[in-house]
Amino acid sequence: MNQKVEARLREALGEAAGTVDAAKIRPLVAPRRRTSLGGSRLRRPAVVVAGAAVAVVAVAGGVTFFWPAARQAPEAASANGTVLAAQTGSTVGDIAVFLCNKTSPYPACRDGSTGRAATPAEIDAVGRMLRTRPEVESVTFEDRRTAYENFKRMYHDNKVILDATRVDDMVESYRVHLTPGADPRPLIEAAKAMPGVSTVIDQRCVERAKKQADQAKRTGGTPPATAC
Amino acid sequence: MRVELSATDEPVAAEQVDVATIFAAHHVGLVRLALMMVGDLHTAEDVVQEAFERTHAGRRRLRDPAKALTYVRSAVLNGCRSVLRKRAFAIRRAVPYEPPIWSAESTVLIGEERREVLAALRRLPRRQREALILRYYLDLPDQEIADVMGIGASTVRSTIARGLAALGRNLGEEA
Repeated sequence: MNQKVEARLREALGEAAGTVDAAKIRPLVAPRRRTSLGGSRLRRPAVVVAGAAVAVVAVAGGVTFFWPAARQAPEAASANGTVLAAQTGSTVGDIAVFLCNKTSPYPACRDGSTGRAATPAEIDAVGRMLRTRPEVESVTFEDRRTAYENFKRMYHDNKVILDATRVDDMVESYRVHLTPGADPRPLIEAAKAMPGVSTVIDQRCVERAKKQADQAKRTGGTPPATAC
Repeated sequence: MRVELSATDEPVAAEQVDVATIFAAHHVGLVRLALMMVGDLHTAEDVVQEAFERTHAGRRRLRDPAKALTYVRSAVLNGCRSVLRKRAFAIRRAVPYEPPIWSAESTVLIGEERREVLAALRRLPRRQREALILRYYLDLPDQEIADVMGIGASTVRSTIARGLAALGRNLGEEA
């Protein structure tokens, strides 16, 4: 009898779990800095990393902030499977190929339970591969410092975020310009398959999605579901 | 966000527990776990968010990276208990955002037969319900269930056995 109950319980719990759509759950919000505890204990407020299962529309620089606004309007933030995420780092190039650092949450960067940063050899290999692709016009490497400079420009009016972020929080990336009319998808797939690559973002797709979301906001409609 | 766990000279990477990474990696699973306990998605999301904030605030207590996930699950479980306790006392803000998944009014698509099981699970005492969910959803071994719930492993075994028997009775299965 117990076996039958066990089987029914397993099925029921599995089905209940299945009702939670990974792409639609409300993203976590970074805890607010608690000044009452004193500055030294909490030097930096949390930088919340995007869950790998969550479809992140605008991630660049590898650091994703979920704004408290996402909390007030979970529907608006996640209804289309996208995450209200502020873009960090620069928007240089058509395709951004992000490299693993030690704290990358992406499965491609995990080695068992610990993170694994891209090795210099892997970084070189990714660069070589990108430069030999026919659809690539130019490739630039963006180091942490450059990413941080871009980040500072982008968030010059947001002291909380600037205080929370250091050069070490940035991730290195390759910025790829494509030849006009080239299909980005084969390149994205090839780059994703390289060891040491955390994620690849099609920046033009992100820009389009952002425009559509803005448009929808103005007209009061729901933004179309877009996964970049 | 990363936490230095001890002041020794051991390799840094092995000594860090990154609360945000744990939550990012297990977010969906934690929300699902909370859903089974509290019954509706939005409350489950709230519970996980609060557990994240609490765990993050108390991250200095996270000394053993191997135990971090257990600690986090424990925090989620505690959050669920707190929500259910508030609901039991009809505190207004603790009402579910939507009908719980085990109720007939739920708009979540679950088969009738499965819903019966969830409703029967609901009627069990808290400890039995928690132990059954941790075993039959997460497939945790006795010791981990014990750690998450803060009870002994032998208690886990007897609780699961009693819980299954009671669930069977609730469901009208032949003994």
